[in-house]
Amino acid sequence: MSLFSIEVEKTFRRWRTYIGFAVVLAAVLFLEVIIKVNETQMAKSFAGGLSSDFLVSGNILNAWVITAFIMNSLYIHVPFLIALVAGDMVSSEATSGTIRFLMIRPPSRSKIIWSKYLAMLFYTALLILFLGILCVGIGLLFFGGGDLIKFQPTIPHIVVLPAHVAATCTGLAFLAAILSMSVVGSLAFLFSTLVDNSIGPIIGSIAVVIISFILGNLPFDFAESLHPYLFTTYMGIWQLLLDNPINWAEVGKYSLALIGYDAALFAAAYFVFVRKDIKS
Amino acid sequence: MLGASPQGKGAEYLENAIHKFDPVKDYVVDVKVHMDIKAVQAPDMEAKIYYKEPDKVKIDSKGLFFMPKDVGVINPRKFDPGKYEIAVLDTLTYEGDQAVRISLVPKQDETGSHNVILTIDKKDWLIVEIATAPYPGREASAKITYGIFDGFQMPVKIDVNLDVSKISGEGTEFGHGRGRAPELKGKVEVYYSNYKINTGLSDDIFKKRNDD
Repeated sequence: MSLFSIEVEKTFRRWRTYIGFAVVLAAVLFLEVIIKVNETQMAKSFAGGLSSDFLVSGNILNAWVITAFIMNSLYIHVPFLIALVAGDMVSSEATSGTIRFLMIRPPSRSKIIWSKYLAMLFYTALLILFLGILCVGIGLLFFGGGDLIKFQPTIPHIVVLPAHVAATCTGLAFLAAILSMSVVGSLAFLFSTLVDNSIGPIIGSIAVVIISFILGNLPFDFAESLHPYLFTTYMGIWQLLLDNPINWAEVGKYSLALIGYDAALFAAAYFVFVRKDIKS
Repeated sequence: MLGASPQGKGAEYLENAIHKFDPVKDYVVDVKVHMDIKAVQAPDMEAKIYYKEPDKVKIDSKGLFFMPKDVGVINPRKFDPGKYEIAVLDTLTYEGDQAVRISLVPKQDETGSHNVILTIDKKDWLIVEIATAPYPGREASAKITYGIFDGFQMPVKIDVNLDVSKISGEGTEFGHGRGRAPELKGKVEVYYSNYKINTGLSDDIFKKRNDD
């Protein structure tokens, strides 16, 4: 059995790993049921001001629109659910007293930290894919398919993606969301190598995400000059993939930035872990 | 250019345009909309429009479909002369024919109506241009090209110029509720084809409301 498999098994033996899946299931189900119950009102709300100037026809409230709407939760509760597991990856060994045994066994520290990091990425990917499958699956069941209409608030414009394009773009958006959320995971993972308990890395990483978001939204020149250096600036990469046409240059730029953050955070975690002095 | 004429003359022109439409009891037409609006990234949209006198309209589309209100579905009957103060603005030559421009201002007790300027071709009594400004920050004008279908002169193309700098109901954009509303400024081309006129459409077709 490879180290990676062992780490994945260890991760999925912890009950907290399933909190994320349970929360995602409950949140998506709750939201889609609420939207279904208030379907007429929600359809009007989703059409917004458009219906005052246009005659609108077609299935506005469909699986792709609902999925894009729910994907906004990637900014809110999903980072917390990622941090909940990622922040526990290394520190849990210290908490449970197994870190000394882990360190004195044949696999090198390098292999151990790599396998733990890959297990964290695996969990992140699985949680986001679970979110995607639930959103689309329940959405198709409740609301059916249709064209995706989306309001892009940053550069105000309306995007309409035909149903077949919407499916592909939504798939790509979820893949981009995995990359986006992996940075939160990497951050919590780094913090996890620094301390001997899990609470610190979880709260610490979420605090960094929140502060970064606040800094990124402050309407001051100073805050705007920080934008290129904040990882939260690039976390909305998935929004770029629900555009028409897709700005691939921008997607590439955002991807490189996120991969850069992942690499830097993992490198720091690696450095801390391989030099870690086990005292107890 | 003439000054404002009495209500009678303007109303007469409008009634002529309405009467021209009298033989059309109902129709079904295929519609294709092409948007050239910077803030709207949408593919060409197709739908079938059902119309029955006096003002029943139903839009049926496989995918999402939207077209400018007021100027997208041509129905002279909606300009009821009894509901407007009508004045002749000027007479002009429109594509080689005599035409007249009239302004329609809703009477005080008429809610839901708004100022409209119509250009009516005096040769065929067809509405060839419509300009509206339903609320501050929204202007739309449409130029209508007609063709002959089963002996009826019906629109084949409408070129709409839209300038919506402020969407009414701002802040509820597609449930996302963030940021500014887009500025809808640009051109919309609406193509009409495959008319089926006076086929005796059932009222049942119009029972299910459109999403609008």
